[in-house]
Amino acid sequence: MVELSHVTVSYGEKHALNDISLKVNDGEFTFISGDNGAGKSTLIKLLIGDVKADKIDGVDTVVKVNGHDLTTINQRGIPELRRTIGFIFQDFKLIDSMNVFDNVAFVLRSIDASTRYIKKRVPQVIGLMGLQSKVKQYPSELSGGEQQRVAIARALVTNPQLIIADEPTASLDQRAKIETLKLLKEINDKGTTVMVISHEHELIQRFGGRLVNLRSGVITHDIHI
Amino acid sequence: MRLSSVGYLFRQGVRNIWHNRIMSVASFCILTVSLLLIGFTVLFSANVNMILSSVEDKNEVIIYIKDNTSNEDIVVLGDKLRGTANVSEVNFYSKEQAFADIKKNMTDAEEIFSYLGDESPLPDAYRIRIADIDNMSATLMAINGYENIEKVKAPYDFVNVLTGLNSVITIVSAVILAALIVVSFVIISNTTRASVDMRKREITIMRFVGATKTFIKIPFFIEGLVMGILAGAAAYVLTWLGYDSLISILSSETTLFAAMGVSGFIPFSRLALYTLAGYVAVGAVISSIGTVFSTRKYVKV
Ligand SMILES: Nc1ncnc2c1ncn2[C@@H]1O[C@H](COP(=O)(O)OP(=O)(O)O)[C@@H](O)[C@H]1O
Ligand SMILES: [Mg+2]
Repeated sequence: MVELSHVTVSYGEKHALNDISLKVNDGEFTFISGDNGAGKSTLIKLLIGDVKADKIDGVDTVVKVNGHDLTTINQRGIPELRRTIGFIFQDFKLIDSMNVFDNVAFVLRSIDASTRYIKKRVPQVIGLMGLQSKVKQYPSELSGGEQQRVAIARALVTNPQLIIADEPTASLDQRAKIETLKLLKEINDKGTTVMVISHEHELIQRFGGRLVNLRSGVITHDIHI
Repeated sequence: MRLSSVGYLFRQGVRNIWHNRIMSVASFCILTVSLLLIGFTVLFSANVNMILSSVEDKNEVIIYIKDNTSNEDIVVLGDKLRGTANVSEVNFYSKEQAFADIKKNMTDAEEIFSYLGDESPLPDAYRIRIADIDNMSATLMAINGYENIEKVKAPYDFVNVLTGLNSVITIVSAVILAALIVVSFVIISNTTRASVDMRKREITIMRFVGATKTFIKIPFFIEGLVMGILAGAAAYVLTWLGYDSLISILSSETTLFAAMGVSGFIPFSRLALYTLAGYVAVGAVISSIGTVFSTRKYVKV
């Protein structure tokens, strides 16, 4: 669950987010849209504890993500918070020197998971993404859509409560765009909260759900399509 | 942290070295050269110190007593010498004893001695030892003022040169050591930085999925540690090969060193273990501090 109330994030004088309030319940599917510079990336950084909300006198700022209070979180708390979030990058960020299995396993290894669990869990998510036949292949041998599926598998492997996808479809062809969103919807249907950053109104129209639009750090619409 | 994770992070560190191999080789070479220079500076110092202490063993000063000094006055002088600061040992060396010793050492010259008769032509003397060779001149100055002394014979100039040399060497090696440590440190930091750059994507992913700072940094630390240990081992092998030949070249200058009363150099076998331990320890410490320093700068969570 995400709960924001009266949140301002500034870079120097510039308010990248300006007094926004937003609540995303568990199990929701939400599109976040907005032009370049609207504050979408800043919103994501806020949710993963990469930037902090301004402390303003007389304003009761609330930033809560999956039960973590980010206005008081400390250095130790941040890794814990991040383990509850799965992140999908626009440019996939797969590791070229690792095959599909290792790319997915890398996440679990990085958070001190047991070898036994890794051996059990990684094939599970790879299967879920329909990549069984590709486990031994390297990113350069995969299509864009397949690479994005590896990235989704990687986000899923930790069983996160919330998945955040930053423009996951921007660098894909039409078929892969639809396929990727379908997968994200399926994941959402199983109970995981999903937030998708996207510019592509056509796609948003097609899939529907909640749409939060940002402009200049302010929420201009919060509607259901 | 799990044992399996420790193994994993260790393998990641070794993998870093391989993936970053051009920088790794460069940094290995420079680290090895630095360690070698450090090693040779230290070993050179150790030898000079040993030579100095062997000279200090011979830090004997002979005080010749005036010819017609009475026995009581000789005893008085002896007590005075014993009471002098920085004098560690005082022995009376009678003229008869001195004459007998000379005769014994110069058997070829028996005929000459026979002309001298049984009466010793040599003076009575005290042989004393100086405790701290650095303060020898002050001590001798004090002794020079005592009565009934004919002459004070000290290995004065030679000792002066050696102690002077030793302090110069100590200062120069300290400066060299400091400079080399800084250079190695910078090299290692740069290698780590290159390694961090190469793994930017992995680091980003690790941060986003909630890896702890320690977890992200350990492979770089291992990388530095392994490089340091390898460079230490290489420096050891090169020293092992180089030290003995250097010694044999210096030892062929026997006349010079014998004249200085130098018995020999420290053989490598006696230094081997310390050298290996020293190289590996210094290499590992410099290297891991260098990596910790640069990961602190370049790896944020
Ligand atoms: N690190 C930063 N330093 C200064 N200004 C920044 C920084 N990051 C973003 N901004 C500014 O904040 C505003 C919002 O940026 P961002 O959240 O990246 O927007 P979006 O992702 O919607 O394009 C922009 O005006 C941008 O120029
Ligand atoms: Mg952006």
